[in-house]
Amino acid sequence: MPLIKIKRLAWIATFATLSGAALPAAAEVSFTDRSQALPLRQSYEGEWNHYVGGGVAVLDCNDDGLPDFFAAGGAAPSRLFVNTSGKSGDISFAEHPIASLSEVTGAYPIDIDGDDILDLVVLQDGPNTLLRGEGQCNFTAAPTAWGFQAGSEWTTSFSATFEAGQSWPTLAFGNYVDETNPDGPFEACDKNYLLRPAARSFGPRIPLEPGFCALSMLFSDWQRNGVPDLRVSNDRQYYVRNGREQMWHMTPLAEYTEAEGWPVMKLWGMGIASRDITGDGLPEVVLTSMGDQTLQLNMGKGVMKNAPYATGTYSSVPYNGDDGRASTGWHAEFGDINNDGRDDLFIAKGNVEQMPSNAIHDPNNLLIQQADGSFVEKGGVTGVGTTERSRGAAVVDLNKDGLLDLLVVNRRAPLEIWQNTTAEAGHWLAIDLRDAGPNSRAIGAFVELRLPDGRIQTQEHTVGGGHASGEASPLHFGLGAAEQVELRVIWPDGQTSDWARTATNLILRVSRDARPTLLLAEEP
Amino acid sequence: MRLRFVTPLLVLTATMALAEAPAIAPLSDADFPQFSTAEIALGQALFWDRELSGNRGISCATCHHPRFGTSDGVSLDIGEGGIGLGPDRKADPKNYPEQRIPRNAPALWNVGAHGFTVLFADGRIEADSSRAGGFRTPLEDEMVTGFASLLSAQTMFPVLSSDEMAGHYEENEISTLVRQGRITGPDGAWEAIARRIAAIPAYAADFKSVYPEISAGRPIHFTDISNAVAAYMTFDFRSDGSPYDAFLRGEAALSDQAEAGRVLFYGKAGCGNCHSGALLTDMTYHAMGDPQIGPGKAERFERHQRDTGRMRVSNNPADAYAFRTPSLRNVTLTAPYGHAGSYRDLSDYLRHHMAPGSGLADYDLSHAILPAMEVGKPDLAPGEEASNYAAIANAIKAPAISLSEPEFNSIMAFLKALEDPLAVAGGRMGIPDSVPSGLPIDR
Repeated sequence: MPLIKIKRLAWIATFATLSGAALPAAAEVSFTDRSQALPLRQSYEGEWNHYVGGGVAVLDCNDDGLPDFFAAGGAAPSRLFVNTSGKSGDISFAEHPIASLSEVTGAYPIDIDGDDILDLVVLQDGPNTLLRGEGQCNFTAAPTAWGFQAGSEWTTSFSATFEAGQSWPTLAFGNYVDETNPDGPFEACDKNYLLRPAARSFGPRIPLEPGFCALSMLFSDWQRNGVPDLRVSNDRQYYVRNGREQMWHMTPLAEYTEAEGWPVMKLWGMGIASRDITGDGLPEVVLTSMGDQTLQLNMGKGVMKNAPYATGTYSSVPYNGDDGRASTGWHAEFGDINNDGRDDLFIAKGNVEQMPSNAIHDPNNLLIQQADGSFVEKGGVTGVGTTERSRGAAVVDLNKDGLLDLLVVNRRAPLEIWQNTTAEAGHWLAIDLRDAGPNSRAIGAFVELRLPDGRIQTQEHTVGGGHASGEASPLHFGLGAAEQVELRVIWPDGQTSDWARTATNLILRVSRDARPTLLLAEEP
Repeated sequence: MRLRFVTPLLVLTATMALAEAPAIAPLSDADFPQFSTAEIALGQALFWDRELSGNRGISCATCHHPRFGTSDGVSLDIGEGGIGLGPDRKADPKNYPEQRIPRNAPALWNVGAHGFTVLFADGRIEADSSRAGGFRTPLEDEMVTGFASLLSAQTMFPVLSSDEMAGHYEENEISTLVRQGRITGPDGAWEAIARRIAAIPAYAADFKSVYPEISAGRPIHFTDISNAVAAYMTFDFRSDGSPYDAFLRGEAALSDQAEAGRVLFYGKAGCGNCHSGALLTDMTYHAMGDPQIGPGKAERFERHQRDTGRMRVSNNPADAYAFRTPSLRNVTLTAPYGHAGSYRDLSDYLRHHMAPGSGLADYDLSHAILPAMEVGKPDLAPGEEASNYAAIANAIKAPAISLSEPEFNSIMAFLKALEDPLAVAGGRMGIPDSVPSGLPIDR
């Protein structure tokens, strides 16, 4: 396998019988503000073309096992920061040089050329940029031979998948308002585009029409039929009337229709979070918007149903403060914050700019899932519920202590770093999928963890969604009291591995050879 | 006297109640800021000029007209997209309105008084010592500086409302900026309106003559416009010439029936607990169980038809369905009544108001005056999901009051004594003959 540098290779044998210990009482979640650990002010700035966007891409670009990040600055500088936190230490970052790019709205990491070094797709108002990772956090413009067509639109969303039989990924670019339309900005949404591979390069841009001002896109095998579709969440503020939430079949390329059971749904769509939280293996989605933040339960057979109000995820208005107007949601992401075995939900909130209809002081949400499947707001008590104009974010373990930390990009205010300092959190496992190229990170795989009580946690490895923000980080599972679990992977080609037992509280590099047996190696 | 024998305790209680009844100081010049005649005249022109609205079809006076007691004579008006005035107003088929304005247009009597510290039925503009600058506005810390008073700050917001004055989507440069969320700054909606006004030579000259800084070369900002409009409203809609004012000044007694009503108002009926002071409002919020009609205080991205009143501003559940106590000055001229104008008749409203929530169960729209238009959401929303009458009823804290029919009539007579002949005549200045834009005037 190319370029895998495992400093300490250890087969994770399993000896003991699986623990049947009861789950501990849910730990009280706490966070410590490490925003000052950034060497300079990083914020998302600019005029109307940067009211939306403001993403962050998280990737380990120097292969030291610690996640680094690239933050969009809009009209202000976009910067790369390398992680200088020690393992389990206080989170800190140092700036690292990267090409100066203008009008950046967001970014997503992905290994384009299968060399197992992550590349960076940078979204911009204007031509987008594809940066090739060279190692040691150095990035260069993608070679001309890659055939990357940058476009000229105002790009605000992205997703990628590896289609069957292809050696390179398929990239989807979602665009916002067509700024060249003299009748705009309303009802003037631009087309979206697909870049499909042609051998080891990209072919011509394929329009995805109609476009409805896409602020989030996600390739997901949401029906678990082995065929990922492209979900597009669209902003009604600009499409106004004749738009909708979209789902695209990739082959042949066509939107889902009402006739096949895809209902017309209109949102001020800003972000997509996707995760199976009901335990049936089918990913639910959260679609952020103005007012209600919609959690849709995946009922199977292509049916999504709005969760009951009592689930506690609608978060329509600020949960504290003295501003009672509706919220504005942006990035949403699931993650088990207290490792109790139940996924929690972070939603970045903030007024677009000066919309009197919506709260000006709009706190971010940290919704902690309870044993009964409902969610309880902890944004206020943990301090992460700040009221800046938050946009993109990442829920990721920044210091390898097994606790998910938080990066939040703010418009007109400094980026926030929150270190998860939850005491008595549960056990955890982080799965770093690797596969033989070209899809070196096994995008499209499903990872299943079987807990001692028989519950199965499922995560799909995707690139896209959120709000202009993406992560190439190990998949994090909270496990409660489980000291050992079983693990299997449904690889993107459909091969299902055997179950493998492993201890917990590890970052595991998981790969395969010709057999269905997983290869597990502990990362230091 | 029916009670022949009274216990000493009751006598004591009654004496204390009389002693505690606050002496109400009459309104005087000291209660109102003073402005130059030129500033007032400039403000009058702007108040009546449709140029301030995005599509140039509606002025402040369209919904705050002296013919209707500085309100509009309907429950829930059509703002942008309406033609005609008062109960005759109807949807313009060429620019069909999207929905009714969700609240009854408030009367403007004495809004310029220093004591008028809460504006709008939910107080989203109000004096607030806990905030920088001493007030709150919907823009919070984004709010511009340069407005001279709370009333001036208030004036800056109806022009931003798509359903009231701005218009929708890309219909005009103002509505486009508003929908984009661009309000302040050189590229914002307020400056765009100011540029319109500055482009009219007569206004440019008038602003120079009124404001020395503009004469010295500073461009006209929207705050200058709002300051002038506030000066006009303060002057023209000052109302302290009612029989009750004469009574407060010790100049004349009320009629016997009105006097009986006054005593009830401040005594047994308890009206004066909230309708207090010379402005007849405590400038705070009470849930009185008025029926909710119309689209509700819901944004386009919300499906409900509720209006939770103050809670939508304060985010405090204790404020649910509470609305600012309205001033009762010239109340006989300002029908319909309630935050949504759900009652066209004052005595009907008062009977419901004395037994808060009593009218909810069998309320019907015949009590309202609604300009004809096709509406997307029904005017009387059905069920829990919509306007939530159960929650409205549950929020009521005020006790029911029982009055005899003569007592009720006395209170009505007292309310009639709050009517100022000058208000009946339409204010001090009347309707201007023309405005600098040359646009038509609502008469």
